[in-house]
Amino acid sequence: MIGKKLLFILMVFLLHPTPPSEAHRLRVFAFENGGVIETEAVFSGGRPAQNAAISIEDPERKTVILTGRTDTHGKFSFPLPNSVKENEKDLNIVVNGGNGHRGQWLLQAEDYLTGPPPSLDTSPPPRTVISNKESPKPSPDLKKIIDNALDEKLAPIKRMLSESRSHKTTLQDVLGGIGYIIGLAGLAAYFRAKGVGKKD
Amino acid sequence: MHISEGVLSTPILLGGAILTGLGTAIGLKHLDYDKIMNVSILTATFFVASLIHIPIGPGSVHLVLSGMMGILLGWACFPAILVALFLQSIFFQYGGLVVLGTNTFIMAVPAICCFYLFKPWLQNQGKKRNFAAFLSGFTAVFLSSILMAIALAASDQGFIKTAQIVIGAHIPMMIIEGLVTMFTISFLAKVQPETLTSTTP
Repeated sequence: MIGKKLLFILMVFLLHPTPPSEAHRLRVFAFENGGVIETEAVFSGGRPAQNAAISIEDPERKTVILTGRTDTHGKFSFPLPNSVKENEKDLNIVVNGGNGHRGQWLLQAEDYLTGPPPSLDTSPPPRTVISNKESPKPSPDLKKIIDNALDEKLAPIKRMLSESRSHKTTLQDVLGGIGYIIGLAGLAAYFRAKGVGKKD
Repeated sequence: MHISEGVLSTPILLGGAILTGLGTAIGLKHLDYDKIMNVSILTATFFVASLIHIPIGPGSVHLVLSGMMGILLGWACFPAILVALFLQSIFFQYGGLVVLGTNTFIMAVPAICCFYLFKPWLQNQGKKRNFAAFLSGFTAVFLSSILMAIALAASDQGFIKTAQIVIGAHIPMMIIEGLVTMFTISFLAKVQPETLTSTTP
């Protein structure tokens, strides 16, 4: 009897076209790129949340800092406000995808405080003191070029990091849940059997 | 189908939690412990069903299987759906814990309605039984969409507009659920017909 039911469940698994890493919820993640915060909202199944209401909030004071709508790729970018940067505040990014779907992502201050330092006043290591005598500090133009190049190269990496931190459903999750269900059934059956036994 | 955390207003959340508590109590009373393995296997199926995505046009639709749970389990579907949704919120982050009561209510009540509406027809053979199974899957999602629209509208926008959007968005799901339920029931009728004829409410 149980064998046939298990066969049915196996059929259900076989119908499964996608790996168990997509799920029916709204995943939001964000990262900093060159002074701009880039956010992305994706539904389970891989579909981007297009034209969804997005609101950037202060998690401590629960105030809304700014609002907007995601584009056709589910993305929304905004320049990091100076007031936020100076106070090193966390940012709560909330996306409302309609139909009761809501996702959020807490962008912590240390995530975006990786921007360029305000001035080059970090003391150079002793070895370069000699070269410092020969040439002045790197010109602002050179610094800008380097910063832009770094931002460009690091942006996809930051996006990958941030995306991997947002939880995806894994096979372990599926097996864990099924395990709990079977465990509960077993407990119920056990206590039932104990009760029946006592009556005799 | 799963409403996320932080969308609904507190009265709706409380109401859903209390009603689900009642429903679960009734469900546990009606639970036939000899059939606990059947219940748990169906719970596990419901649990993984939402992972199954069926691409429809630009997007995709995921299975719910609440109609099938209703006609096969009756009132026991309340605790079954509660457990499955709880585990989905822990493991997959679908829905949430605060909104668990309301989500369970939205999915289980239509399931029980389908039980009362369509279970008697399952005793028949052939086309009538298949049609009843299809309607069960279809109606469960339809009623769930209406309940979802009520919950969302009471928390936020006007009802008619929300209902149109929500119900409209779920129409492909209703059809797919109906088909999946129909195929499942006809499969069960061939291999294990006693599940369809049991009369436990």
